[in-house]
Amino acid sequence: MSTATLTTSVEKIQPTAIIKLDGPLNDFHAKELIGIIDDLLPQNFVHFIINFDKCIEVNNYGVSVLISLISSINAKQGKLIFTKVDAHLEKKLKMMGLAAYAEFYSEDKVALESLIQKL
Amino acid sequence: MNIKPRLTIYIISCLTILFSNPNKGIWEQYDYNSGISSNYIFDVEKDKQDRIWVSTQNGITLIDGEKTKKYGLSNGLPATNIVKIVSLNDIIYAATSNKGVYFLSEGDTFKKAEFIQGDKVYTMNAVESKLFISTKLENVLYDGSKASFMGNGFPKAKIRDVYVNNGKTVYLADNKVIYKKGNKYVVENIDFESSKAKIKSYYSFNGIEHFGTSKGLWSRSKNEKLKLIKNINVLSLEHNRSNTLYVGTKKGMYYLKNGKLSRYSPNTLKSKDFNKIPVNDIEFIDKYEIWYATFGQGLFLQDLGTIQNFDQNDGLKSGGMVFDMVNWKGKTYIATKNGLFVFSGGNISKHYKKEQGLPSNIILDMDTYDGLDFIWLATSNGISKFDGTSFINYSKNLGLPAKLVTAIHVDRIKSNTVWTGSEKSGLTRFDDNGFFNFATQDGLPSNSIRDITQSKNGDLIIACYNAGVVKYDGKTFKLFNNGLADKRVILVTNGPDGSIWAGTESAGVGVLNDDQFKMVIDADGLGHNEIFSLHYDGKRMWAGTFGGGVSCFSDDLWYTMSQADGLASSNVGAITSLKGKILLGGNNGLSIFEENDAQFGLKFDKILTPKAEIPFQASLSTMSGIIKDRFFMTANAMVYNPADAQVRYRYKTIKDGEASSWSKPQLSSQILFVPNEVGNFQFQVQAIDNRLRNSKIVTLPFSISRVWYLDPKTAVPFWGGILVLIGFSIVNYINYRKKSKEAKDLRDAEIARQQAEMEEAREFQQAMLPKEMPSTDDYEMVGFQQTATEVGGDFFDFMQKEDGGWVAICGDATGHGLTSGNVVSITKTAMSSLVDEAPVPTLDSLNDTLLKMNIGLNRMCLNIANIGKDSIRFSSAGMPPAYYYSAEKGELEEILVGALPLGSLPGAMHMEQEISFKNSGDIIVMMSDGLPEAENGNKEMVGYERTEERIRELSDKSAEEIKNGLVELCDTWLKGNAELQDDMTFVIIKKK
Repeated sequence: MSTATLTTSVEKIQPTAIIKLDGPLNDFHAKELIGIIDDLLPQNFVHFIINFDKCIEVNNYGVSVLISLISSINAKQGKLIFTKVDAHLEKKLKMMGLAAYAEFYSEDKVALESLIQKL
Repeated sequence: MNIKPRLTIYIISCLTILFSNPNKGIWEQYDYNSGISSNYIFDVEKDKQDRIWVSTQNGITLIDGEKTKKYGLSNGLPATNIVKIVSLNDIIYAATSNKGVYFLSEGDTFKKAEFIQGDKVYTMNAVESKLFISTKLENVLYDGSKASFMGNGFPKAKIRDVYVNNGKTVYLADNKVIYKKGNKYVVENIDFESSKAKIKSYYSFNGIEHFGTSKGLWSRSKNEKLKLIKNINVLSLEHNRSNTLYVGTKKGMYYLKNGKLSRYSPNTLKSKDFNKIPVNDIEFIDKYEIWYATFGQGLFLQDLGTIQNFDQNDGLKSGGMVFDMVNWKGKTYIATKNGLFVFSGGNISKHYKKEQGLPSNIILDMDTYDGLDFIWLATSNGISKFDGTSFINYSKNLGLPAKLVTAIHVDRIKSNTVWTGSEKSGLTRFDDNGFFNFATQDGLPSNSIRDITQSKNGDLIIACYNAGVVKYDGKTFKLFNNGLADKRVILVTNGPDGSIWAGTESAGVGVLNDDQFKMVIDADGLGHNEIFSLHYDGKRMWAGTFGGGVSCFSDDLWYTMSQADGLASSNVGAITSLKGKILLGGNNGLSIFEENDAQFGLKFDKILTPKAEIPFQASLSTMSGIIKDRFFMTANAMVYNPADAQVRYRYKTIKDGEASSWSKPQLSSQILFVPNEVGNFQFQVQAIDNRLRNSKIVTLPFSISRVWYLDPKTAVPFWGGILVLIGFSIVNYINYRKKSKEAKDLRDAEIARQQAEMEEAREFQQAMLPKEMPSTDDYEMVGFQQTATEVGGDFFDFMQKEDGGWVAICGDATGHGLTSGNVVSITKTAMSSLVDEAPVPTLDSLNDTLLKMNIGLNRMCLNIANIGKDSIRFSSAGMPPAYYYSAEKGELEEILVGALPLGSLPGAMHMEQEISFKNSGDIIVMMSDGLPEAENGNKEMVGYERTEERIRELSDKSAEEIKNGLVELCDTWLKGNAELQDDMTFVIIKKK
């Protein structure tokens, strides 16, 4: 399990926040993502696009963290979108049932446009 | 009257006359090219610090020992003539022709004097301790704080000069002299028979007043009429404090001696050129230092005392080298290759040649002594006895072994006995019995005799050429040449303390003590190694050289003077001393040297210490420093020599009353003192002029201590503090180490405890796995688990239902360690009561149970395979896909039933898939993500495709072989350079 640091950058396009992950989403750092979402939700950011382009590892614990976001976002009628997900991770997320609660897009821009259209 | 006092008076009067003739002496010219502000000089003044101030039509020049500094417009002076300069009470006053008076008290900037009215200044002089100034508006005396009018009958007149000497002050107006009588000033009109005559200068000596005017030099004795000496335009008068008046005129210089006025001029210029030059001022310091301010040729310095030369112009037509000189009956007799000269009263008074009875004009040696009635002469044609009037000659035909006589000596013990030496015929004694010759067959080491003298005990001392020095006691000849670098000895003389000094042709001087010679050469300070003459004056040894001038050994130092210092010649063939003066005979005539006993000043421009640059005055207070400090001093010798005189410097230290010896003199004025020990030092420095003149010794006090961290006063508290600090640090360090060890022990204990706990968790988790795989007639069932380094959350189990069927489960709790172990434990416990349920209700129930347990972010991923007779009902919650191999079709199929892990959300949906499992060889493989996500050293995962492919390859194998093949896949992938990061679990069921 990687002990590398997870850094995140947040691009805010009200009411959507694009969170770019850089590093591992695992037992050591995944909880940081919960903190970010918990900070943004009260600011009326309810839709979240999580970019996995530089995310080097997502283990089961990381998926658990993503699952925990679902109920918080759902409570705000928000949407959860994953972008830049490689094939292995996409398979992992789908087998763990996240396909029913989140959408997958190749690019942030496409995801954002799709989101705007649906809103 | 006794003849001796008469003789003494005669000699003194002769010498006085000799040394007061301003035509002699050494001159030096200072002009614009040598640093003077202008060649047009009005006044020259020497201050109490031995500095020379020169006022010109273009500012002021200061000659400060070896340095020169100009003061001009940038120093506050006006652009006009500086006509007078006066040093009084450490302040320099400069009078200008039309801009008032300026003064310099400190720094480099002159300030305008506000205490005087009238810009046109006629004169300015120091009168006692006050400053007299005469301007167009007033005549005042300035006492340093205020200016007062003269009063008391002082006339309103243009005062041109003031004469101050021996308590007498005379103010000079155009044709008046003003002096004080009682409390009143008296004005006396002087009738010069010409109304145009204006007094410029005045001097009174021997009861005779001298008036220098624009229309002549006048004099008058008491009660006598004014007398015109010569109609010359006099600008300045000065006196040598004896009997000579120096007269500076508008056209050159004169001196008045014994009523006779004569011209003189510096020998650095042609007389006819100098005689056109105005001489504005003459500053007579002493006979060794006389300054002349000219208007057009700059400044001249004359040394009339140190060296005076006499040559053929004075009647000394020597025809070349002077070979010897003796003093006899108050006169000096000079032996040359052109006869015998008599020097007396500062003149060549007689000249004897063959015509006067000499056997030859070439006189090589002479000898006589006080009380002897004759001088004996050695010539190129025998010897001669001279009684002051006539010569009695003795030649070869009377028994002398050779015509050429190289040496002659009058025996001081045996009367009527004379010894002679020859170039090839040895030593000859001449007495009442006639001539008796000694040669090598008599024991004489060499027949070439060059000089003879005699020790106090009567032994003869003989310079034997090519052999050494020989002593003859009347019986035997004893040769001394141990240590003699050149045996070509040409001179011998008695030195101090019984020593014998020998002059050699090329190896300098040998000093014989205890049968051993010690050589003195040019490297020791001797002018040259070719010795031409030796003379001991009773106090000091003199050595004349061929080309290097004369050297004098005094107080362990050699002083050397040559033609560059003013000697007539650097070839010095004869030396004698008379009344404290040294007479030096050379090939250009005679030089008379008189030592100046007065010590000159020495100061230091600056002293650089490790801490600061200290001005000289301040440095006289004790300077402090530490051992090995370097104190740099720049010395400045306050001596003015009108020649290329050489000043050297030496120093010594005195500590606790004990003085070191003087250092070897150095030419550099940069002096370095590096104290090597603690204490109070007196560092003494002295400058040495090569004319046997020394400076005053300047003492610089130093207090030297150790560097502060070694000085007991500061070192004890410092090092004590350091020791306390070190001790404190050691104690702290020991405590720190002790506490660190305790902390480490605690940490180690905690780690051990955690490891034990982890081991317990691992054992607990392993305990939950089936001990044995189920064995049935219908299925091969294999479960396998390989744990990662940490305690993972994988588990598997086979449970038999009541109907005899089997339920296989394969799970993976998210997270690691005890928490995941707990989740597994809960799941397995709950599962035990659900074994007979269908997969979906089982997962729903387990989901509810785990949510109720509030397990946070932990989840449970689980596959359930409910194995029936011909089929398997399969469901999954968050687990990787299972793989189903249909033996009938020969195909491997991925079975993915996506769903959230258990414990994620309430009411999470689960689905079920029924798989045909009726043919022998049908296989179902469930696994955790351990294998597909196993990473090698390149961070590459095994992946689902590679896993699926491997299962396909193994489909004809037994369940156990399939398990082994998958484990092999993992091992091969990791290649020994990577570790399994997560638990790896398989459940394989194959239909028999």
